Amino acid sequence: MKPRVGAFGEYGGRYVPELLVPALEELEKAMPLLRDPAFRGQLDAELGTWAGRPTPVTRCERFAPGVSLYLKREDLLHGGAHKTNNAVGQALLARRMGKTRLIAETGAGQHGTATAMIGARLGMEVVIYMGASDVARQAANVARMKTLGAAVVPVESGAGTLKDAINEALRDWTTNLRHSHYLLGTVCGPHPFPTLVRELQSVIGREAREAWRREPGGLPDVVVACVGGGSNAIGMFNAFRLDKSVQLVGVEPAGRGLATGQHGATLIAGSPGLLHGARTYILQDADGQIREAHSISAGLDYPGVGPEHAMLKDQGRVAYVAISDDEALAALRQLCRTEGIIPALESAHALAWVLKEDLQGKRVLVNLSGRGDKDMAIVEEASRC
Amino acid sequence: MLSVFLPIGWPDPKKFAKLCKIAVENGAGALELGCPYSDPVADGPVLQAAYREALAEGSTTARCLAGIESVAGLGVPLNLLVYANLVHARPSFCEDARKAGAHSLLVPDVPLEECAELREATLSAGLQHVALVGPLTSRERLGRIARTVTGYLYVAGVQGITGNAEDPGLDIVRSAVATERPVYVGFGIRNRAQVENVLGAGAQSAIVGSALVEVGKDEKRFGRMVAELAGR
Repeated sequence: MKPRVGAFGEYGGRYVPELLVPALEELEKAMPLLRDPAFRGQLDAELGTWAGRPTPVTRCERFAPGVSLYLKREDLLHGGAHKTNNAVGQALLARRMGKTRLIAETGAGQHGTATAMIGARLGMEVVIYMGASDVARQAANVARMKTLGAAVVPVESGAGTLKDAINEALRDWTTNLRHSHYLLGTVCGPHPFPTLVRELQSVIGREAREAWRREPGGLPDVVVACVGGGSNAIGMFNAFRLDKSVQLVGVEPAGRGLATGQHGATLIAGSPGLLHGARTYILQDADGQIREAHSISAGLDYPGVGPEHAMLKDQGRVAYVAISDDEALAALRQLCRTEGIIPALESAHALAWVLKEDLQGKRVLVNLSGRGDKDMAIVEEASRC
Repeated sequence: MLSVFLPIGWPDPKKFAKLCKIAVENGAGALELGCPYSDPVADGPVLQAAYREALAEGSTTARCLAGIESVAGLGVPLNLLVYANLVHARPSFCEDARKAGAHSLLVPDVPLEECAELREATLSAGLQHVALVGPLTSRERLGRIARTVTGYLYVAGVQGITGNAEDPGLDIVRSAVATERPVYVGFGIRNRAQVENVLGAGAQSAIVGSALVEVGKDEKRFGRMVAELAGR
């Protein structure tokens, strides 16, 4: 089966029940608004005066001595992660489409928080689906979402993680599409989501490229980002993909180790299949039943990945690598102690690769996609073990 | 005519074959059979739970094919409902299903735009191609979908997922009937009055799934409910 609609090479497409097609067509029709100067102005104003863009790029000398390392600080964005870029854009689109209710899935709770925040600001009802085991391990974000007025619905099916939350959000949307918008949080899902979310996250790479041009000048040698669904990575890579000298590296979660089967490294250890509306790399058994992923980081704990990443892998434009739970934890601690920045466990995967790889003398840009305040309980728990 | 939906191999392979037999004996004119799947996005809580149980019990595609074969002798059409990734993962799926005794194939998560390849595989294996439409499917789209169908149009009578509590809407049923394709109506049908309504609107069949799966572990109740839905 090769996709026909919204294809990234052999990946992408629109594999959803017919009942959902009207909502996707409506969304696709609204997308040209992103190029409309008035809409664009409104979006940029929200991102600037409410969400805190542009975010800085920080030079780090102590984290990885000998490497010229810079971090794009999406952790400083309102809400604490890059998710806000997408949430603001889609919420404004939804309001223009006449929707009054936002549905979202969340893994780590960052996307749910971003959606709850912009929903509150725009006076929209917000319902967040979150896997039951994620509700337990990301309690701080659950409290934030509830305080912001969102309803948080724990999803018990499957392993109770991000995959199951997306299933439930899709069911809600299919039922309530007349007045609801599904604010999908990553570059996965049926067309037009992978394209829409990439457009809204590309601000990361645009800003980072511009900042780098001024200081330290030129282009980085290596650009690194973690990949769960893949939105922070696409948002960063998009600005550098035509720069042949720039090596792009996507870091997947190796969890307890690729050999254990308990990981979320879909591009490295998965195979092409259909999940959540797109053809892409997924974790599956020989029959095509979806396997559960594992990662210490809830935001990377997903058995699929955005279809554009699948294409970039096959093209060889991006190198995909994997980092284990323990390596990510160690990198989180090291960034805290050497630079005074608490990274999200997700972003710590990208940092861990910088520590592991020999990058002496290289100029490296890492997307610090979010802050790790939400992960403190997990870090403490791991220290006790 | 009443179609009875059952997850293949649920509650276990033996009881599944028995439920199929009971359904036919009590008036089902066709069986709609679903392959258990880990991520059934078109299904409500009842069928999700049944699929989960079947998978925990060891359901595989090979066992589903054997399950189809085990009820092929009942003398009613066996219409399959299979999520796309199970078909994607097994290039010989359509042929295998036909050999096992299936009559038609509906892949609920492959809409019109993406269906060409699947339809070709379905037809060349000798299965009928069935497609899903819903209350918000435009008349223009309905016409295009109807032209791809060689079996029947599966009309979801309510906007949403299976097991819905709303009454099925008859507008979409009438529009589907007007395409002159056979029309089967499902999603949310749970009593004889609803069956009569959709048949009265011109549908060939009403499909009942969740309401029967809810009572499926009690064979006597299941049989009585099938008979009642079939108007016996």
